[in-house]
Amino acid sequence: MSWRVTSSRLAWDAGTVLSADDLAGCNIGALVQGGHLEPVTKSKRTPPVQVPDDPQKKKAKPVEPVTEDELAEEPEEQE
Amino acid sequence: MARIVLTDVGVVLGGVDLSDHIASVEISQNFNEVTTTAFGDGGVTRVAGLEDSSLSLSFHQDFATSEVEATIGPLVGGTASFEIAPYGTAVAAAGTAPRYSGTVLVTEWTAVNGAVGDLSTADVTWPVVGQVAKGTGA
Repeated sequence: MSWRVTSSRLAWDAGTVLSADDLAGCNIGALVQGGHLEPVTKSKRTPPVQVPDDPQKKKAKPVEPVTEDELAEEPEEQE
Repeated sequence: MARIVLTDVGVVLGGVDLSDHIASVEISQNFNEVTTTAFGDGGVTRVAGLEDSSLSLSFHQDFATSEVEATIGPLVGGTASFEIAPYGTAVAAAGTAPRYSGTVLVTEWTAVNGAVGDLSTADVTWPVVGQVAKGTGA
């Protein structure tokens, strides 16, 4: 657990992050309540937000079967 | 060191420097008197017993964030460390400047006090828990 200094009345500059050892002997609860410290929460890596796929996109287009006739069909040459 | 006129006494309570909101400070070191008179003594003999000291302060009340009320309010009913530097905290490095420290029991607090037109002040006397320590420098 660590705390960030938020006032200018402590021995440390505002913004300094302190551990419980640094604050030994201090009433941390009172300092937080008094607006001199704020708890620093460790930032946890959050998994990327899963956006649901568009149902229309998900719908795969049916593949039309290709018949043998179509394969054999050659484009007509124009004279 | 020469005579001192108190102009910049450093007062730190619970780790918070409130010097610029304190107008008066008094550390009163007292010891219980224990009599040791026995037969044959021509008069009462005494030794010092337990230390029973106190710290008196006169605050200028301030209700802003991180100021007097916000700092002292949460300490009422509990204990708080104190440090008094008669020459101020800035000259702590001088080495010979005294510093008094200890722990007080925050037994009283007057959040609002004063008549019309007065500066809102809070005068307190808190008993010391244990002993007052005297050191020098930082």
